[in-house]
Amino acid sequence: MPKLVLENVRYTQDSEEFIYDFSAEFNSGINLLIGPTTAGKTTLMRLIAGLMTPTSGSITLDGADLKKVPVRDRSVAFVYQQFINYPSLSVFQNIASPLLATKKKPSKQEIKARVEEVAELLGLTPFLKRKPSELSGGQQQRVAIARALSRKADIVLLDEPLANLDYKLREQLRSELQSIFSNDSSIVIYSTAEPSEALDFATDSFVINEGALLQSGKALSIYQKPVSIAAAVAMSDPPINLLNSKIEGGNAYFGKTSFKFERAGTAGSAKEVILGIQPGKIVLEKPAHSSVSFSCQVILAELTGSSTFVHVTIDSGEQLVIEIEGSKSFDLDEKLTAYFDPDDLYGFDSETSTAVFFPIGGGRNG
Amino acid sequence: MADIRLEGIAHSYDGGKTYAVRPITMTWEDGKAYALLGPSGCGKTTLLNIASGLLKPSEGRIFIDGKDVTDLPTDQRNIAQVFQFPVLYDTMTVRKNLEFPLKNRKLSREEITKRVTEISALLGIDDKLDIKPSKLRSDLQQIVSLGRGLVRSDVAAILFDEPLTVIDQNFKWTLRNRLKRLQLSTGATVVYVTHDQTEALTFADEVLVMDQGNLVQVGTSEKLFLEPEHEFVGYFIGSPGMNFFEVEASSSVLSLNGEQIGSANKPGLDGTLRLGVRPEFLVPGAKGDIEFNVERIEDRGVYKLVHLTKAGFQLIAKVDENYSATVGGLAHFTFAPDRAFVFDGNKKVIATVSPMSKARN
Repeated sequence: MPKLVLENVRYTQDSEEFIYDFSAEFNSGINLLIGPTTAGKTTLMRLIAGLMTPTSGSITLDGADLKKVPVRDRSVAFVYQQFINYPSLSVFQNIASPLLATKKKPSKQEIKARVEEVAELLGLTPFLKRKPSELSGGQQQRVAIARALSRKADIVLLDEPLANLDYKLREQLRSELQSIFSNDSSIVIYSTAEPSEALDFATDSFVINEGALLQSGKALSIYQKPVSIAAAVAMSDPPINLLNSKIEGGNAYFGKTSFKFERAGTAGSAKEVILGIQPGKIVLEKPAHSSVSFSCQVILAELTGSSTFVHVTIDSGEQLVIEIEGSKSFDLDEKLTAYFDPDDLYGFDSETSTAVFFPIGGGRNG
Repeated sequence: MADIRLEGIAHSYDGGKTYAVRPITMTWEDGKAYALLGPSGCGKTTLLNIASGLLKPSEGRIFIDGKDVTDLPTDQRNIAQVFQFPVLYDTMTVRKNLEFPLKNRKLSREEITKRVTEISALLGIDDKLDIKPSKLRSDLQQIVSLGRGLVRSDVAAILFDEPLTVIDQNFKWTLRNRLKRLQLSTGATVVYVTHDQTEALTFADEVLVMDQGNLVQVGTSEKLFLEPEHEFVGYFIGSPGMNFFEVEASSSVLSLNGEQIGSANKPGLDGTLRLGVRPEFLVPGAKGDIEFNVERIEDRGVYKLVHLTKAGFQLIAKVDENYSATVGGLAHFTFAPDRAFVFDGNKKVIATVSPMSKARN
C-alpha cells in the first residue's frame, strides 16, 4: 500500500505563512481535507502536486522524496473545483489525453480499453463522441474526474470537486466516488469545506485551518471529540452552537439560564467556559427526561426539505441554531421554549478555545 | 401590489418543436412570496422572463391586477427586478444608487430619504451609503442591488433571479432573513427563481417545482415534503431524496418479492407499480415487517443512514443515532402510514399506501 508522508511542511511567501508545520500521513483510498475557504487546502494540494515548492519540510511517496521528481514525471492527477476539459476534444479524447502524456505511451488498444473502462465507471459511455460543451455541468465534472482516473496516478487530488454542482448531483457523485475509489490503490486527497461531505465519506479526515493541521482521524470521532472550537465548527453543519458561560459550584450559567452541571474538570473555582451544543441536540418539545430549558426568539426558520434550521436569539443576545426534522414554518420573532440534555454539551476553554469536556456517550436525546 | 395571473402561459424557443415551459394557468396572489424551483433547464428562468416582460410567451396571456400586460414591455409593467449579479451605477454612491429608482418616480425629498434609510438599515448597509459600489466586496454590491430592487414601495411585484448566487454561504441565511422581513414589511408580491431548495423553501409561501418545462407541484414546504404529488418532487426535495422501488399489486394489495407489505387507498390496482418512500418514513420495525439486508450504516453524528437492499432495490432509511444493526445481516423496517406513494406511468401520485405486517395481522 502506497503512503504519502508530509513532514513539517511549511510554505511562506512574502513573510506570510500559508502552510504552517504540516505533518500528516495519507494512505490509499480517500483522505479528506476539511476546512473553511482560505484554510490552505488548495495550497497544500499544489505543494503535493509539485506546482509549488515547500519553503521547508519534506513530502515523500513510499519513502522517495517528491522534490527530486520533476512535475511531469510525478504520478499525480489534479481535479479542480472549476472543471477544466479541452473544449475542442471529444469526451473520449479528453479522457485519453493523460495517457498520451505518459512516458511509455500505451498502445491504441490499451488506450481504448482504459478510456472505455473509466467512462463506464463514471456513466459517460453514451457521451464519448460528444464535446464537453454538449454535456451538463455534472457530466462535464465527471469527464474531468475520468481524466484524473484514466492514467491510474499514484496520487489523485480532488480540490472541492463537487462545489459547483447542484446538491442532487453532489449526492449522487459523492456516492459514486466512494465506490470508485474503494477498490483503487491510489492515494486520493479530497478537499471540502462541507462537514456533511466528511461525515458522508466516513474516512480518514484532516481538519485544516489557517494553514495548520488541527486534528486528524475518522470524521465521526472528530465530530464527537473535537480538540478545539475550530475543529468542532469545521466538522458540524450547521456549525455547533457556542454559548459563553460560567461553571461554578456544580452549576452552569448562560444568559439568564442556570442549571445543575458537573463534569470532570469543572469542579473547583469558577471557570469561564464556552459551552457547545449541536443544532440537532436542541429540541422544541419538552423531553421526558430531565433537561435544561431556555426561552428564545425566532430570527428565521430555514427549510431544507427534510429538516428545518431555526435560527434564534436568547436573552444574552447570542444566536443559536436549532435543527428539527421535517419542514416546519415559524413566524419571525415567534417566542419559543427550547430544551437540551446537559449530557450533550461540549465545553471549551474560553481563553484557549481548546476542548475541556465532550458529550457523554449515548446521550438520551437521540 | 397586485395579483399576477398566468393563463395558459407556455413557451417554445423553436417554433413549437420543443417547449421550455408547458402550459401553466395559475394566480400569484397579492402579497405572497413564490419560488420557482428546479434544476437548470427546467424552465424557471423562462417563466420569470415572461412575467417580467423580457420574453413574450409563444402561448397564453399574462395579467397584472386584471390588466393584460402580455404585449407590454418591462418598464410598463410596474415591477422591480433583481438579477444574479450586481447591476449598479458605478459613478454613483450607494445612496445615489438606492435613490435612483425613487427619483425616477418623482417622490419628495423627505420620502426618498426616509425610504433609503429604512431599506439600508434593513439590509445592513447603512454605514456604506457614501461609498461607491466598486469599493465594496461583490456580495455587498449584490446587497445594494437587492436594495435597489426593493426600495420602491409602489411596485406591483418584485422578481428575483437567483439573487444570492454570489453571496458567501455563511451570510446567506442572514440575507434570507432580511429579504423575508422586507417582503413581510412591504407586502410586495414576490417571485423568486432558484435551484437551491433551501432558499426556495425558506423564502416562499408557496413553491412551484418545475421539471423539464412542466410545473409538477405547487405547495408549501410541508406539503412538498409530506405529500409529494410527483416523483420529481420526491427526488428533488429532501436529502437524501425519496426511495423508489417496484412492487406487484393484486386488488391494491402490494407485494415486494412475494411478501405482502401494504395496501393502497385506491381500489383496483394491479400489476407492477412504482412505489416511493422518503428515508425519514422508512422506520425500524419488528419481526413480521419487511426484511432487508443491511449493506452499510453511515453515522452522521445526530442521525444515521441505513443502506438497505431487497429484491435488487436499494433503499436508504434515516434513523436516530441510537439505532444499531449488523452490517451484512438482516433488519426489519416498515413505513409510516400514508407516507408511501404509488406513482403512475406519468410519475404522478395515484394512491398512498399503509403498511401490512405479518406480526400485527
